[in-house]
Amino acid sequence: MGDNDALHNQYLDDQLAEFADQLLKGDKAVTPSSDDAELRALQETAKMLQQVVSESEAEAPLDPQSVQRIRQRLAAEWRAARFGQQVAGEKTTFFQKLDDLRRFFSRSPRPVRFALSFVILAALIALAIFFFPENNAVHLPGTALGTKNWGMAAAGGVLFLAVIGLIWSLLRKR
Amino acid sequence: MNTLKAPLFDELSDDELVRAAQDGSLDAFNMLFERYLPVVTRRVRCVAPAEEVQDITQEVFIAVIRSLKNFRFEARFSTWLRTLVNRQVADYYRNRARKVQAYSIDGLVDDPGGDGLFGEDNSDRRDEVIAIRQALMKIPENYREIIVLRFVEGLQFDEIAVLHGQSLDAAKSLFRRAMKALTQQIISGEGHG
Repeated sequence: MGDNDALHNQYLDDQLAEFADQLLKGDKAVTPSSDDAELRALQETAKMLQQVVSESEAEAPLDPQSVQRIRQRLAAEWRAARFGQQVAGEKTTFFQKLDDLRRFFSRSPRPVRFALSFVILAALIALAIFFFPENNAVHLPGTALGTKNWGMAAAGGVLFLAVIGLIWSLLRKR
Repeated sequence: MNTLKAPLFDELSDDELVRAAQDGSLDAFNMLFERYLPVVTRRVRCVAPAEEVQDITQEVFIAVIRSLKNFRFEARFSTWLRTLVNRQVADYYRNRARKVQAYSIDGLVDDPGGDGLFGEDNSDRRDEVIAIRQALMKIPENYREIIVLRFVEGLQFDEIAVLHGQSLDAAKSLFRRAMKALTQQIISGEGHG
């Protein structure tokens, strides 16, 4: 009984391994077809796994710009590790800083993201109001809006864009 | 060693490159990066959400830089690199689980993890990807390892056996047990969903 079990198990091991080999060779004709229900279920999982792996490899390669960004970051990291700290006078590029900011933002908890978004939004509105004060208004006859409201209009525009951006980024994260 | 021109690095073995990198050659490190970027990306992509692949891959190579001086050539560089990848992926899920806990009890990988990969029309396939990724992360590490080695890295069973210091039959047996665990995990995941 024990010997038979061992032989049967080895048979199943060999069958599944052979099935996986054929799948990975790209043999599209190979299908889960074992008489043994358990083995057939494992063959189906193998087939599903192979399809998922090959599709994800084909459809989402790292683009050259991402690779370049990684390369730059690694070069900075290399120098930092090599010399203990950032080399004097060496500046990180704008894109590295932007990337660091993006990573920090994306890895922060959602409440922190909300709070940061709110602060940035408030700062943008304050800037908009500051740069478009009412008393700088220029009279443009015939405009329906009335130039006295330019500051508020600009602030409203910024607010609208920021809210849309925020909603978009939150939806995208989900 | 530092005077070697970059094209020459192409012909060096991993160990020679690691030695040159340990001696301070950025070109040697860059060659290791070039050589292993596809391998690392493939492995990460298999178990992590698509939008995190770049960050995790970057973290892996940063970890290489930081611990390269401790590499003692007791294992192959590729084996050592695999452990770094596994560690970074585990770190990612640990950090993520802390954040996700507040939003989803079951949420080790509740993220679609591939918004760019599959369109809305292909949500079944996306569910499949999520189910497999979740299941892979939940099975024991030795099971995950053999599945990734065969399916993602494309190693033959005899190569896996040599790598693990076991017989071919033992490798195949481990593979079947791993696939069984993966199948059960996928089924139980579907049950929860």
